Amino acid sequence: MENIRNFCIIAHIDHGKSTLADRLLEYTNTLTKQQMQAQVLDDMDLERERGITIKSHAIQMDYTLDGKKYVLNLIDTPGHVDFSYEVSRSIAACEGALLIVDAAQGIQAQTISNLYLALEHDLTIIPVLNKIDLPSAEPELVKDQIVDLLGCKREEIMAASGKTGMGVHEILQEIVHRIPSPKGNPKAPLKALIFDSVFNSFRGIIAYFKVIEGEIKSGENVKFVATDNEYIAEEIGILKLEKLPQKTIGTGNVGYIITGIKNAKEVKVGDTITTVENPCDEAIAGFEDVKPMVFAGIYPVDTEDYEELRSSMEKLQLNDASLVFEPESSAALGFGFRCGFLGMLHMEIIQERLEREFNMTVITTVPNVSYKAFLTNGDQYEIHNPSDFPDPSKMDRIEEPYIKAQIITKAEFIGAIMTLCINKRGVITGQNYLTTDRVELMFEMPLAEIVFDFYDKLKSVSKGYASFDYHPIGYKTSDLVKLDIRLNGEPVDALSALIHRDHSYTFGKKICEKLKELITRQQFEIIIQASIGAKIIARETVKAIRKDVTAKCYGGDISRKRKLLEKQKEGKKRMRQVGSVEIPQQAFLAVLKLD
Amino acid sequence: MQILNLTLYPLSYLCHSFQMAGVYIHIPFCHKACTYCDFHFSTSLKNKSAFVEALLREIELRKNFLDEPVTTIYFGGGTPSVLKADEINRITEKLAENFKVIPQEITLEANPEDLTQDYLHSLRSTMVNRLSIGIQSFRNERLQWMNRNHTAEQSLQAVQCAKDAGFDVSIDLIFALPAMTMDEWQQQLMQADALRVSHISAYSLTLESKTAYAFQVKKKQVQELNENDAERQFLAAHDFFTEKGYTHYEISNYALPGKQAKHNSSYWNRTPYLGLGPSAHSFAMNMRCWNVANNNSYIQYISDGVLPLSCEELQLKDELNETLMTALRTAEGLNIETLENKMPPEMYRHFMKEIALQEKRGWIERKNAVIFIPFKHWYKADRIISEFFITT
Repeated sequence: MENIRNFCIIAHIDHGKSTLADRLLEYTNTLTKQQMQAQVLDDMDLERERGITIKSHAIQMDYTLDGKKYVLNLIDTPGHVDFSYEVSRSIAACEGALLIVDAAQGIQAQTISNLYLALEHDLTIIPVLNKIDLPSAEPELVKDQIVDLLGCKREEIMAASGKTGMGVHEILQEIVHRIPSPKGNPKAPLKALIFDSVFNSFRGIIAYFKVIEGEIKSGENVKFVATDNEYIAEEIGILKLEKLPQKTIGTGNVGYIITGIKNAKEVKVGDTITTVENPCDEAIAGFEDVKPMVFAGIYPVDTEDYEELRSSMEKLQLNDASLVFEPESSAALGFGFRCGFLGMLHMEIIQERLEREFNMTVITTVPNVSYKAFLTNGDQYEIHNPSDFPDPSKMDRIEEPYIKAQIITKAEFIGAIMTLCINKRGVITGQNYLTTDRVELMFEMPLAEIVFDFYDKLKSVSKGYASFDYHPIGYKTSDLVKLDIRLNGEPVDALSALIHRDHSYTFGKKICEKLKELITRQQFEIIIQASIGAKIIARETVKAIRKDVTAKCYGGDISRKRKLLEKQKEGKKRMRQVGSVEIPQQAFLAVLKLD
Repeated sequence: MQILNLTLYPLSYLCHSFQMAGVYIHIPFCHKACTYCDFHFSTSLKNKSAFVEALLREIELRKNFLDEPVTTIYFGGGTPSVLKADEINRITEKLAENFKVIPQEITLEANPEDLTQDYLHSLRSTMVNRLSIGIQSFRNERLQWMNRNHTAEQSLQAVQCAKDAGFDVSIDLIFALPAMTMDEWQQQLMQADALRVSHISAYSLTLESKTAYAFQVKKKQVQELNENDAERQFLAAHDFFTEKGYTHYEISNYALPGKQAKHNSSYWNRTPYLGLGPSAHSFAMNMRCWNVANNNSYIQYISDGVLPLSCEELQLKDELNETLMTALRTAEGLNIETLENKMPPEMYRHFMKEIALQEKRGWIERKNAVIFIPFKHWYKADRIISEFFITT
């Protein structure tokens, strides 16, 4: 046990976490240069394309220092706020963390919030200044930031370059020297923490765990405490680049277990594995059922594809347990699903995976957060869909979720960002100069405002020099209204949105303008209206098309024209007929793209 | 799509059982380039005789293309009236040597300035029995803007002489010109009617890229006429000519009873046709072929005994789309019974659903097994037709 080191890497997106991880694997000969593929740990196509880690993974390295053999377990963590619960469980499995900071960009909000998580779990932090070889690197300045943040000594900060491999040997040595070995009673009943799981179409769900106490044996009857299910440990093993089956895995070590589980829902991150015969007294603290934060409708473009969409979603859920969905129907869109996501990135990923992996063309409706409705008769329920909004006459109040947001930016953008946050109903709760030029701003604001278009706006007002992170802090009463959109007088439920009363007029006006832009002219006039209850608050008109004809159609014009019309028709495949009006797919998300 | 030498195809592949066929001959020369025209032509006539020789050679090379008798021949362009009567005779004689020609309608497109008494007299010695005259407008300032080579007076004279010489006459008019008022268009219509020709084509000015017109619009020197006025002019022409006894039988075409253009109609009812000359398109069975759109390469290839031909084989859906596209542009409409046998059941079911939907919207009407777009919606025909298109 004393030669095991479990660690994770904390870094902001693009600070070079994956590249440095690849170097560690290379320098410990876990994989040869030939096997080297950029960003080995991210094996989903989508992850590699987006350059982010969606699912965390673990890998074991063998390392010899001063004649002694060590086992280093690197637990990779996702880098996006949507997946912060998974990050917290990965961190809980470690004794130490590499804090990687880009020497050119300095500390970002994401880094800080994950660092706090690591400190909460008493992890030993090894600060690493990465990308030291960049011409724009400012190592001394960034070192100041790190010293301020960690209270560490300047010389404790390591310099590295994932690109050239500089500093990698030193990092490996320091992992052994500084990070403590795991503690735990090897004789106690088995207690193992599930920190991740992946879906394999042949083997079913593969759960990754760390043994906290006792040991796990192959073939043993095991029990997952939170779900209260029992399985046979068909295969256990350690994680090299390939899975390596083992007979036992001892205290402090990290491994995988295959039990033949086919459904991801049965394997919950944060759950405890113990044995049926000799169970542990209590489960590992900190388990949570991950709750979706953002809800949106997903509908097939062609109503006939509903069943196919259902089976695709079910398959997706098999390897993504955080996706929840239930059937719903919309007057405008027919049958579809109301889906819950961890956040906006998660929603985009699901939509993209449906299109790529299942070849489904879907319409996603305006996302909303989960509200609490309190009725005058004392009833209370959750709103996941604008159509659940209560009749105003029976409504006592609505509560909406709030978050604590943390933004780190350059001093020059403070004004613009404050204006943005205040426009988004935010309240400033703190302001903290990290250095003379870098400021940390704290806000409380409704989660719903983040869901809309906060990221894009933050990026544009700060010219990209702002990083952002948030945590839910509970519910607050809010003056919300349901804004409906009517096309030629008919309300289109899929375009409804819940928004704050103060914003409703400008919002209604903008959404009508945006829809006017997106809805192509048709053979008749289309009137777009925004309304609150029966009251129309905005109106736009899409004029009817009067001319769309080829004057001459002889000889060679025929095939040319046919191809043109075929293209025109192809474009319509992504449109949805609502009443008599054809609405392009992107119109349903138009509210997210308002200026 | 690939470039194919037609002779590679077995003869049977290109033969079919239609009762007649058409021949289109593209004459790629003009004196001047019209402002709006994007057809293939050259304004230098120095290659004209080489071209005629090549054309005669092409007729020989393609003698197997058509099986059925040729009943219509159409000299289009460009400006076919640059051809001398003896050149026309050589071409039609060559056709008669290589195909079975039973002449019904032999049309020559002509510019008014070419239709002198002498030229018309010489044309009498040819097979040509119908002239399509490019009037375009009865206003000289419009003709100037269009870069035409004739005046309104020459147009009137040419039409009169052509009729006197015994030709069937069709004239072309253009509406929706920049800043055209309804008054101007009404005057055009009345002047056209006064000529009492048997056939009138009234085209909506179309902005084609790489034309002088497109350049002027881009430079904001002129502005396209707004859609509302353009549509009103289209409908006004319909009302006017219908009242004067013309049948509006295709989007841009009007005819006195029995005088519908036979050759052009063949494009819309899937009669096979052979296109000769650079850029000319041919159609037979399920093949569309087209010649290279360059005079020099055309002449070069043909003189080497090679057909500069690209071909495309039409898939079932292409054929169906073309059928409904061309049929729905005509007053006659589309007989859907004929499609039932051609379409797989699932496709047919989908198609019928679309018909019901569009009928409900009023974009099409139905009489027994025939569907058609009502005149009032013809100006939006492309949009309506695309609704029916089969994409998978």
